[in-house]
Formats: sequence, C-alpha cells, structure tokens
Amino acid sequence: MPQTPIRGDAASDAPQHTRGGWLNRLDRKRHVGPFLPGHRLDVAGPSTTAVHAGTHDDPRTGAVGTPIYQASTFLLGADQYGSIEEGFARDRFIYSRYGNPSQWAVQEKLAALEGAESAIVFSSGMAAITATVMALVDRGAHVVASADLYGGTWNLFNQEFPTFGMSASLVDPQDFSAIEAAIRPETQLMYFEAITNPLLKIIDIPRLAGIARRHGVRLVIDATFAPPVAMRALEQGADVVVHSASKYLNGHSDLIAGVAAGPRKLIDMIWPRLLNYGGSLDPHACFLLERGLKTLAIRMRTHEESAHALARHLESHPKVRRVFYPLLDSHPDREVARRLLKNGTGNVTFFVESDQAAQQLVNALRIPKQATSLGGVESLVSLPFNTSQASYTARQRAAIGIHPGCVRLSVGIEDAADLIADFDQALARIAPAKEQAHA
Amino acid sequence: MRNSLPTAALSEFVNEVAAAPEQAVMDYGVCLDWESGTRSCATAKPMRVGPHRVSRSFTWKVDEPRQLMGLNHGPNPQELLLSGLGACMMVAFVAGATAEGIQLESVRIDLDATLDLRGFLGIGSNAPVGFPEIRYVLHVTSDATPEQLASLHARAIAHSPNAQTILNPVALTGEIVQSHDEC
Amino acid sequence: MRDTPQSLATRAIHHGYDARDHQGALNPPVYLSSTFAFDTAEAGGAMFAGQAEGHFYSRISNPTLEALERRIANLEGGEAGLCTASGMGAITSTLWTFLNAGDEVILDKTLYGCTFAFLTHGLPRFGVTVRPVDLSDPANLAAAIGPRARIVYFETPANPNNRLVDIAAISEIAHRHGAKVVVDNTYATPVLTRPIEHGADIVVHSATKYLSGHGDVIAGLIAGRAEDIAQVRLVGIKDMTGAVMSPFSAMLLLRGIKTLDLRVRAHSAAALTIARALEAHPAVKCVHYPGLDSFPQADLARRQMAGFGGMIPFEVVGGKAGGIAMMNRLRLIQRAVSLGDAESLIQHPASMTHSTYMPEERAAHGIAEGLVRLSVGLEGVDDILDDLMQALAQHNAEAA
Repeated sequence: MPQTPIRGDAASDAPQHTRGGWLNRLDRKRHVGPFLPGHRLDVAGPSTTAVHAGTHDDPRTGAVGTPIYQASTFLLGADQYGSIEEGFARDRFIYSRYGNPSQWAVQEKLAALEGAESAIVFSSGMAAITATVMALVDRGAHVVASADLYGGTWNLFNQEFPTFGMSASLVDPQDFSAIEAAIRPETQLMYFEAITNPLLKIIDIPRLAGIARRHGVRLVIDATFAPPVAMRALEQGADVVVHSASKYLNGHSDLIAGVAAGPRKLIDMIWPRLLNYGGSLDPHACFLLERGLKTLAIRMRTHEESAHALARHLESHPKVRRVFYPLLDSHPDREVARRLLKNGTGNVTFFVESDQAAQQLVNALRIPKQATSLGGVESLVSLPFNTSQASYTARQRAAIGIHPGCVRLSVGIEDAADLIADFDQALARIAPAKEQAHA
Repeated sequence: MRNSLPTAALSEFVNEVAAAPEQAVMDYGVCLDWESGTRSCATAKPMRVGPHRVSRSFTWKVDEPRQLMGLNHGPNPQELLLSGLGACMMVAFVAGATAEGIQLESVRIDLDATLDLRGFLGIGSNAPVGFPEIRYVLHVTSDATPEQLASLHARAIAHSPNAQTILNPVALTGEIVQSHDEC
Repeated sequence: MRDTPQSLATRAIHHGYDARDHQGALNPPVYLSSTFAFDTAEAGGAMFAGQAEGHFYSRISNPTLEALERRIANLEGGEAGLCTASGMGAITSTLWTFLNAGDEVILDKTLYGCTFAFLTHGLPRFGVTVRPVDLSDPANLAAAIGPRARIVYFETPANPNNRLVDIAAISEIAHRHGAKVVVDNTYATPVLTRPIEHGADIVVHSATKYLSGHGDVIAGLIAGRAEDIAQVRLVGIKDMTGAVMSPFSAMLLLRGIKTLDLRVRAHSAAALTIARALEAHPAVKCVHYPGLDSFPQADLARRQMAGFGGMIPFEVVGGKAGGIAMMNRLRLIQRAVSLGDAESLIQHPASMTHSTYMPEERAAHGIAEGLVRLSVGLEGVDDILDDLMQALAQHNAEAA
C-alpha cells in the first residue's frame, strides 16, 4: 500500500515497535488534542480565544473560517489503517462518528476556552453526561451526586443506574461532611453542577475537589450554568467538565449539543463511549456552535450587565419577595461567587407571592418568551413548578428551596432598560391575593 | 487494533508511569468468606489503579471435589492458582507481541502440575506441601518467526508479576482477629 | 408589540417574528423551498396579479427572508426591507430599478472599488450619466446637481478612508431637485447611524460585514419606503439582477443580527483604543478614525454617529512598501479583504479592494497608495494591540 498523507493530527504517530525490547521501549506519549495541524493559538485572553482558537482557515483555498465538512466518511490509506491497527484512530479522520474536522475545530475552541487538553462534542448535553459518567464507572460502582441535579441527570442516576447494578447517593451539594460520609469503598465518581438550578447556589468546587482527591474519586462538574469566561471548572479542580452546549456556549437557542472537556487521558476514555452510544454531533451543528462561541465573551459580559441590573431592580420591587443572583450582596453564596466567578451570567431566580401570581406575571411579560432552556440571546422565563421540577412533589420542591411563586429567568442580551420596563408593567398586573380568592 | 489491544494507549501509559511512578502502583484485594465445608465465596475488593479507585464487584465460589469432602461447586484453589498464573503470562505475552507488531491468531497456555497431598495431610514423607513443579505448553498461531516467539516467551515470563511471584520468595504476613459473637 | 419603543438591542433579537405562528419554535424555520403550492389555481392567479398577499416563488419572496426583511426595516427605521444575494446585488438592483437611459447619478468621490466600477464603467454603457462629486462638502452637490439627477449615492463612513458625508444636508439638497438619496450604510450599521432618520430614501448594505458579523455569508440588504422596496423587488431583483438570497443565508443573518448591537459596541470601543495607540506611534504617519480629535470631520461624526465603528485606515511610515511589510509581520490579524468579522482583518486597498481605480483616480479620491485598512475584530483589545505593536516595533527597527 503506498504511503498516504496524514489526515488528522499530524503530531500523533504510531509507537515504534519494541523490536526485541520490552514495553518500556514504546515511545508514543500522550499529548493534547486531537487538533487540526497548524494555527495553534498562543495563550490569549478569553475574547481572542473565543474568536480564534480552533478556527482553521482552509489551507487549500485560504477561506477564512472552518469549512463545514458535511461528510460521513473519509478516504482511507496506509496511515489511516495504521492508526486503527495501533489504536490511535481518534487522531485520524475515518468516519464522522469517530471524528470530523468540523467537530475537531469546535472541540479545539472549547478545549482552549476551558483550559483543557482535549474535548469531545456530543449531540446533546445528556449525551455528553451519559458518555462521561459511564466511561468513569465500572460494574458495581457508586456515585455521590448533588441532590439538586438537573432532571435529566437525576433520571440517569435514579432510573438507569440500578438497571446496570450501580447506585448513587444524592446529597446536599453544600453539606461537605455529608458528601464525605456518602463515599464508600466502591465510590468512583462525584458528580455536581457548578451552579444549581433554579436557586443558583454556587458550589464550592475547590472544596469538592479536595474531598475527591483525598478518596481517589473522580470529580465531574456540569458547568452549563457557569461557562468559561464566567468560570473554568477544570482550574477549580474538576477532573472533567461537561456542558449542555445548547445554552450559553452556543448562545442562540438554535441547536442541541453537549461537550465534555478535560485531560487527554480521561477524554480518551470517554471517546469509546461516544462511539458505542452514538451521540455524535453533526458537522453543520458544529459550524453553528463554533460561530456562536466567537461571541461568547462579549455575550457573557452583556448577560451579566442586563441580568445584574434587572436583579437589582427586582430586589427593590414591593411585589418581589426574594431575588437570587450570585452577584447581589443578598445572595447566600456571594463569598464563594466572588472567589469562583470571573463574570456573571444571565440566570436570575426570584419569588412572587404564589404560583398563581407567578403564572400571571409570566403571561403578562412581553419580551421574555415562556420557554425552557437558557443562555440564549433572548430572555426566557419559566416556572419550576410546572416545567423543570414538575416531576417533584410540592414537598420535594420545598425541600430544595423551591417555594411557591418561584420564577426562573434566563436574561438574554436585550437592554436592561427594556427588560426592567417590561417586568414593571407585568408585575403591576399581578392581581392582589384577595381578589384572586373571590375569582 | 492489533490483537484488540491499543498499542498507542499502552505506550501512553508506559510513558505516563515513567513520568509519574505513583500511577503504576496497583492495590488488589480479595475477600474470602467460608460458606460451608470446603466451599468459600471470593469477592474482589475495590482496586486502586494509581490514585484512583475502581469498583470490581466480582464474586465466585471456590470448592473441592467430592473426593476431597467438597461439593464440587467451583474451581479449587490449585486450579485458581494455575489460572491466575496462566492468565498473567497470557497478558504479558499478548502485550509484548502487540508492542512488537506481531499479529496473533490464537494463543493457548496449557498448564499442568502434580501435588502430593501427603504434605497437606502431614503424613510423614519428604513430599513438599506445595507444587514442586508447574509445567506448561504455549500453543501459538501468528505471523512471527520461531526465534521471535522464543524471545517474546522469555521476556513475557520475566515481566509476568504472577510468574515472578511464584519463582521468587514472597513474604506472607497475616494476623488473626477474633470476634465473640453471641450464640 | 409594546407601547414604548424598545431599544435596538432588543428589537434586533425579537422584532418581526412570532414563535406562535411557527409551532412555538423560538427561531424562524428555514424554508428551503423554491416554490409554494396554491390552494386553488385562482388563488395563484390572484397572487401573480398582485391582488392577494402570499409567497409563490422564492426569487420574489420567501418566509425566512421575510422575517429578516421585517427586522432590517425596523432597525433602519424604514417601512420595508429586502434581501439580496450580495451587497453588490443590493446596490445594482436598487440603481437599475430607478435609473433610465438619459438619467444622471451623482456619486461621492470615495466609494468601495466594485461600486465605483459598476457606477463609472457599468452604467454609462446604458446611457446613464455618472458624475463623481466630493459630497463631504454639501455645497459641491448644490453646484453639481441638475434636473436629470435621479439618484445621489454615497457611503458614510466611506470605504476605505472613513470620509463622512452629512446625510441630512445632502438629502435636503437632493430632495429639492427631485433626486433620491441612496446610502450604503455597511460601515456604520443601524447601531451607529440610521440614514433614513437623517432624510435618506434608501439604505443598502453589504450584510456580509457587520450584519452577519461572522465572515461566513455573502449577502445584501435594502431598507426604505414600502413603495420603493416593492419596485426593487419586482423590477430590480425579479426581472434584472436575479440576486436573490438563499433562505439558509437569511437564517445565519437573523442569527448574526441578534448580537449586532453588542458586537458593534465592542468593535467600536476596541477600535477607539487602537486608533489612539496607533496615532501615538512614531512608525504611523496618520490615522483616519472618526473618533479621534484629529479627524477632520470629528464634529459631524459626533453629530451623526452613536459610535465610530471598527474600521481604522492608517498609513505607516514608508508608504506602500512599509505598509505591506508591516502587514506581513502580523500574527493574529489576518491578511484578508472584507470587514466586520469577529476576526481582525487587514488589507491594502490600492492593490486589493480599490484596485479597480486607476492610480490617478485613487489620488483624486483621497486613497493613498500606502493606506492599510484594519477591521478591528472581537478579540481582546490587548491581544490586537500586542500584534500591531510587535509589527510596528520591527518597522521602527528596519526604518532606523
């Protein structure tokens, strides 16, 4: 077979055969990636990284920006066959479920933003979560996870885990002694969310990382609510960071995607789960995600600007009982927030007097759309009692602090003045409680 | 992947360990509970691979044949010793072959050993309690030359932890912990 | 949608699309359909006759394009909008709609190279008289305009040297003589200048630039009075240029426009910092940036613009050779034409975008041979400055 060019990561090559020596003669080392050759960005600020990292101008035509490689499969040659035989197929283009240049480009951008050696994109946040968790556990494993988890992840631990002979203990993410006490000999993983939904508790990741290290357990952080620019979970001590990229990372509410990022060693363990479970991201969605990420830094700054102003305004409003926004002085975790968050986000949660009043309020709002999801340029509003926490009983909701009248808001990048005016008119339309009783 | 083993990952692990020796330290354990007669139940304890824990969750029965007062519900301790030795030699042989670029079609290790139970029974004789010899035959189909296989065989034995444990003196330290159950 | 007018940032995200009309989908669907089925033959006939509203063929209209057209019209303060396949498609479709043989078009002396070529080389073949005038002084228009003038056409800020034109003053004179004012608002975008509010009749855009903002689309947009836009749609595009936008490009543009306000503000803030640093650098001969006090039309800039944009034309010491050498030393900033992208781009107008001018024409139009044109991207301003400074530091060393 004639030699064929390397189609993939040129820095990756097969190990030299031992030729009469033993395994210590194997020379291939682990390295970052896999990345497309050329155009590696030196250390740069978050805005520059967001624009340039991983974006590869087409070498054939000079076209600025990564082309969309809408191909399911790739030409094979001696080099590709060799990569399969020697076990480094992740570093070559073979078939788009294994890897595709459009995926690699956005993976490189995400890895750079997270400060990770390697990243994989998935067809959804849940695909990223299941592949990551299943890669890091074995038969009989036990997981210690947050009791405040996103419903989909909660279902993974509660509904799917027992089927495979595994178990999870769900504990208060801020009760560190309970977390430590929940660790068993067969515990392999701690799984927490950087900022909880909907009460926006800021989880002390460095402290969780300390516990994980002490017990030889891996720490996975879902940082969907705290994307890079606001926080880099790996720098805080997480072993792997996962995201629903449908939210802040993409930012335009027009695709479903997920990502896992971390050390190459662990991401290489997750990659076979991607192949087996099949949640690969389509090249066109990769293009949209890469495009969305270019404005991540400036979007996050605007999310904070508008959300912070609106949160302050709501806090002063007589019809609002309580506002949760991590940058407010009234937030219970403001100290942790100041330590961990470099930038605010758009999530604001607040309480009016009842679920009925909350429903009246959101129906009267004109700018925010009533829809689940978050992190998009447009403001979205929803009520936990009939959406994200609808599967909980009222008592279960109260146990995690979701009292009646809870409104979950994802502030977009609209002007704060427009949002404040809209909330003022909508709050004014909440009927007094007495009239409601007569109605 | 040649022989279903990723040489690239093996190479990366070798070099990781060279740089961070603590990654090479494995902690293994099994726990045996006596069930009845000659039968016990073995359970693998969580393993440590470097600093990280791995859940095992494997259990199996160990028993003696009826002729030796057992119920024949599982392999006996000597068979487990031989299979532990043979499987370890197998890992070393296959890993070495893969790193060498040898494609294996089939490998079979056929082990035999003879025990004189007079040692166990304490019947006066010069018979050793343990195996005086373990014999094996390695059946290989591959693209390698006989010289390559001979060299690989020697290196596999030299690097097999279980083979080296059997060939060399090993400290066996134990203690007894007595509990007083209410009857 | 609401009683009080919303800010542009909010309208750029929400205006002109109602999710309830489209299965509740938060974003407009992409209608990749060339044609549309009629309920009855009579209904189709009525649409063709202009007696009934509706989409019948995507060269004329398409629902995805319609959402974008409503949005650009709203942002520009026009009654209607129109999508085209490119900025040049917007310009030629507009001009061909309103010009006849024997008419005269007055154009500013500084224009994008291809616009200049279309006007000065293309239109005269069809019997249109083309008269370049320096519109930076409205008195020049008053002196030049005559009864055959149908269109006054200019860019502000102009490509490549950022010369400004006083839209209100020019419009007042043009309208007195019965001419329409067409403004290419590509550089300023509606975030910084809304020409229709200053009296212009029609705004054209290369939407490839700031409106898309991500360097991944070729597109044009037009906004103006409903009657004018209908004519451009049914004459300029349908029967002459055929420069129709793909629905997929329209979706990317709608997406890009959602971040237009914050992008243009970020471009402008970074560009002002960079323009000041360049002006203070000994290797830089001059900087043409409307936000600088040294800019000859700084007063007009403050009056007509809400910010000064991301484009910085400047000349380094050593003329054309010096400029080219400096460009080749850049590491972060890409050497490429186009502008308004997240990536900083730099080009040399005399050999690239304005090579359609003869050297003497460039001299007459104020486009220096050594001018380089920087499009400031969305990277960290320190990273862009570091790149420029390292390139200019070597420049100093070589010059010394």
